[in-house]
Amino acid sequence: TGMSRRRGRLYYEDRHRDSYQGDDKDDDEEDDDDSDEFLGTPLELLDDSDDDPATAAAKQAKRRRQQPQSGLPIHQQRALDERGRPVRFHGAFTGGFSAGHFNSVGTVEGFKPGEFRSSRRDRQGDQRGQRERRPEDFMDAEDLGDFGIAPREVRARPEYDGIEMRRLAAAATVGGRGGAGSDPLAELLLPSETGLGDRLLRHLGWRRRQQPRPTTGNDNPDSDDGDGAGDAGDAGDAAAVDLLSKLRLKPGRDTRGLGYSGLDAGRALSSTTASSTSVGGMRGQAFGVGALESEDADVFGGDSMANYDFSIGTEAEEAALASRRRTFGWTAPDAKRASLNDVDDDDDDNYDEDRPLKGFVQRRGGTVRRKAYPPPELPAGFVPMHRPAPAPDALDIALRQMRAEAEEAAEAEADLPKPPTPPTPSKTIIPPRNSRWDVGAPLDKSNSTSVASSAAAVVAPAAPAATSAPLTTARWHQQFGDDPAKQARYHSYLRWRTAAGAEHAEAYAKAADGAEGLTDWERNLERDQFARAADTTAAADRSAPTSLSSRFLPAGASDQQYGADDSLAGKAADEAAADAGGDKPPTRRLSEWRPHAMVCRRLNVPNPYPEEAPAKRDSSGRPSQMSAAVGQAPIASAQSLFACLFEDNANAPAAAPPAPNPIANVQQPAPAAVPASDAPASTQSQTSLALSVATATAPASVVEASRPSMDLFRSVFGSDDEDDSDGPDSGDKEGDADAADRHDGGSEERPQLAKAQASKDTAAAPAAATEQSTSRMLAAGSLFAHLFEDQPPSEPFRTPAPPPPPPPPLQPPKPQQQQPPPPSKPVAAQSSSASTDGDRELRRLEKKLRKELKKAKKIKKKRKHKQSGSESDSDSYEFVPVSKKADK
Amino acid sequence: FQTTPEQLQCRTVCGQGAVRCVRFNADGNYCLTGGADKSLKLWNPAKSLLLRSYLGHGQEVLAVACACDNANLASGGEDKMVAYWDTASGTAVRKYRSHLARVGALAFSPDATLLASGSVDCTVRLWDLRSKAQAPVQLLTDARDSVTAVAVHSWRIYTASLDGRLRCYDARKGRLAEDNLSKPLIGLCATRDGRCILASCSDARLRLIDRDTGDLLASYSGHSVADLSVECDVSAGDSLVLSGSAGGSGELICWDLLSGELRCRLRHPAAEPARAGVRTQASVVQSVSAHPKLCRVLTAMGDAVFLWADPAHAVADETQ
Repeated sequence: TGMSRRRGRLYYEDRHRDSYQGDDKDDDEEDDDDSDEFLGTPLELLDDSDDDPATAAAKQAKRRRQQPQSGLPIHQQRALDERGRPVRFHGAFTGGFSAGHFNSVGTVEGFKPGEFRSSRRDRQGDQRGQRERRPEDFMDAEDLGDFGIAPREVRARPEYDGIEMRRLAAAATVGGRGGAGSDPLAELLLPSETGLGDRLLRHLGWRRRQQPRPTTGNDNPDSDDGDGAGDAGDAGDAAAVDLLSKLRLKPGRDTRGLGYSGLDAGRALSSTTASSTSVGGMRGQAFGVGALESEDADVFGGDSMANYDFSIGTEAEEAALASRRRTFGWTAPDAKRASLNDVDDDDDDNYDEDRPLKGFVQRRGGTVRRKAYPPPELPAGFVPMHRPAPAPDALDIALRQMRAEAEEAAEAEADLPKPPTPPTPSKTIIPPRNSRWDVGAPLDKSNSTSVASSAAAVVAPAAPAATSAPLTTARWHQQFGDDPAKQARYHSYLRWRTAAGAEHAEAYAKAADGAEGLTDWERNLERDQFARAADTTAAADRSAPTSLSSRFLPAGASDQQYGADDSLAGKAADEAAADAGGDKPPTRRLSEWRPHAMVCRRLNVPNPYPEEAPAKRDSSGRPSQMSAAVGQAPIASAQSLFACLFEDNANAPAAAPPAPNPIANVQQPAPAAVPASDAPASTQSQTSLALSVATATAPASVVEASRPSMDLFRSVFGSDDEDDSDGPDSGDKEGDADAADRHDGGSEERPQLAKAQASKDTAAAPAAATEQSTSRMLAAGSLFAHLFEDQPPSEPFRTPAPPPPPPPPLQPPKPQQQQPPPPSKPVAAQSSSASTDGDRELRRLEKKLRKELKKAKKIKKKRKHKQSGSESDSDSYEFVPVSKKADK
Repeated sequence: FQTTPEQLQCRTVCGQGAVRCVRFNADGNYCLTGGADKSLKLWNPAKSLLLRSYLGHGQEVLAVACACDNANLASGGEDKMVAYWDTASGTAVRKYRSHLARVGALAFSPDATLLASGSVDCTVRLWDLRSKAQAPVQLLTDARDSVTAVAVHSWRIYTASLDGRLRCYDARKGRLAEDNLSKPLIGLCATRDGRCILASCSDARLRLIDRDTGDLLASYSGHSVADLSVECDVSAGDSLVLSGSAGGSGELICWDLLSGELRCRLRHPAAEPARAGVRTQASVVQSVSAHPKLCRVLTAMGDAVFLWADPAHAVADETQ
């Protein structure tokens, strides 16, 4: 490795000769380094600009050659020569000899015979030229390559050649202990030619030749005074080994037993050669001496018949035989067997206790038996494994905290109330997994219908408080105030659509039934107008009142009323007392809150309402009015307080605030305007009618077959950026003014500003203020509705309604975020077969609509790509807040 | 044995007119101050060293917050804007202008991917900091009066409002718990273990509310609020309840959280006269921030920020 490392370094230096130019020490080494082959991955050449073209070409060729062709199949790989050129195979394969410049002879012209030069005149030169000829002159470049006949590569010098090494090993083991059975590894790992001791002795003035020869027969008689350097070295080595062996005892370093010495090859060989004359057997050299053997090692002449045992005799005879047998220094087998017996072979008859091993003296005083101590007994339950005591480190603390959080989460899930499922008749169709906790939502219809019906039963009493006033009286629906006839048609249309659940075209046809003086074109126009108006109204109904009503107090309601109304009946007293000033315990009220899916993700918690489409949600995450009424009565009632501001409180029953509200009478026409004969549900009470009206109006829009409404797009694609163009700018100013108006005090002033101001307004000039404050509220409402970026869009898609059966007597109010069901299926009285058919049909429709949605998505994307700026045509579909319309 | 941050270790005059809000950063080595001069500044409070100013607000900066990794800051102000800053570069990564009134409360979610901002417009808006949308990801409109404080602890968002309700939005349960304390709330702080919420009421009383049941666990009184916005906090380890006070010449008051007894009143040195034209309550400690790990408290009074430490720690720091 040392050598290779050095080579590597030299190689590096060679490539960067410039930087190492001044290094004298390495210069001579570099000279013979040019033709060296290198180990390891060569460093990449720096791209020097002054590279001559030849090296550049060589580099390129090398690079080409190194390019992996492994990606290609074999038949497409090409053989390249060392210059990276494709090799042309010919001759045996193609039947001809292609003598090209690159292939055969070294010139472009082809073979060029050497010039004849007469040696007659220029003998000297000729001789000189001949003398200078070397074998390489007649060789091809391939012959000098790695696989040629004269490779130019790094090779071990003859001393280190394998053959020479083996010879050295043989010489070393001849006098040593190895003998014939010596370790082959020891033969391989041989010391260098001259050992350290040898060198030291030389320094001391010792010379090999001066040493008196040992008189043993160790040495081959042939090599006694050999001329060859190898022979002389061998003899010297052996002598040195002998000299040293006299100086010190040799420790046993092999795996043989003590006192063992192997067969002494030198003695054996010399004796066999000596005795071969007397004993018959094979002798002489049958074959020529191979290139790898030296003549001295006579491998065939070493056998003698005396080496074979021809008789089975007594031990004495055998011993005599063994003594007769020449062991040539081998200590086995007699002594060896004796020593073996001595150790463990008790049963052997030949065992003689009195006879110690040769060279040993028997101990006197008997043997001392070593006492055996059993290992200690392990205590029961001992685990042979070390467990380090846990250190209270940061990780541990973090782990504990995580565990605590997990427990907390589990506990949170455990003590959660039953899933707040807003009842929906659509549940009978596809039981939605409404919440994360109703995992095992029962699929059978009877169960789900019972849920729906029970929910309906729950809702029924709370319904009056939760409902908004009937549509017909709401200001939002005064769409066509300038044309009373048209307005009347519109109302009728709405009623048909909502109360009777008629489809758009049908509703309009019925509404415009008695209308005279309308051309078909006008009818079509009006029908579209009505549809759009109904849509926007529904959207406005959904967004503005809920988001606003939760944030304002009715002007007439005092804090006390608010507090009282806010709480459940049982807690009202507590709160009143708390408001009165005592340090009463706080009261808690739980309600449903639907976090946005993204909020859940950001907070690293699973969405508690996974099936809930985000578009169906109120922007605040608060369940909309209806569902609140179902789940949480208090909120609903609180909202209804506000709802009465906008709508006729003559309709709002028991839960209306006790303060007289003059607004209602100012604005609203009498609720009795609902023509009872028109409405199919006319037999119902006023409240239930109102309920069903509100229910059906909210989602009252029907997807046009050709192109869905813009709300649909918005609900699908998210509505984050839609208000960028028109929303914040115009709205901000108004909002500023409004907010400043309401909140100019700030946190350092008395709180409850909004309330105070509102009450002030009403107190000062009730008659004048009502109109003003209402309009302001409305303005604010539309403003807010306009400003809130995540305007709750309308339903993502809607199933076209199947033919409407008559509305049920007590239709549960449908939450707005719920998908509109096939209008008013009687929950209880549904034959199962009919409903399953309906289910199937609905599912099919749903699938169809999904497909349409996907298509719409694609179209939208395309359009976005095409024209980012101008969206004039889409504007016409956009949601226009009611207030804007009114302003216009 | 509990230590109290009794010793005034350092006083930093910020030169921001009035310091409206002071907050430790996530590791407690630095602090942020929002000032009346429309700037947000980053300080080393122990050395009175100004590290960086963040300019971009149009009016006073009323609320500041620091993300858990200190990479980003958030500030909200009188200009109705919520700004999300890059700490290192000092640039505003995002400016949210959707609030309708001043923004007085800010809180990051634990991993700083969500920002909650409470405003005088009665809303809390949740901003998704990962998206580039300018619109809030969700609006919390339950409050019927100004939202004065917001806190986020794990998956719960707490809001305090002047309508006297302490609201806990539990995103895991999908539930909103409203605790009617019947007194306008001017401050809010969740304890470090998240089990309790400390609410500061305008009747000069701090109330400790159990998170799960809504029970009143303890109440602390002795400070004066004087209808001002005075913040409260809980010290590291949930040992002390801290609150600023308008009494005297400005005090920081420490109670023992468990026993409710008043541990100490730390009188602040007299404030220097504020600059003309800037309305400050010079003798009110209006902002309090407890160190996330050590027994240290930062208070803001007038134009100065005060770093309080317990004597042992203060000595140790000086020797360092």
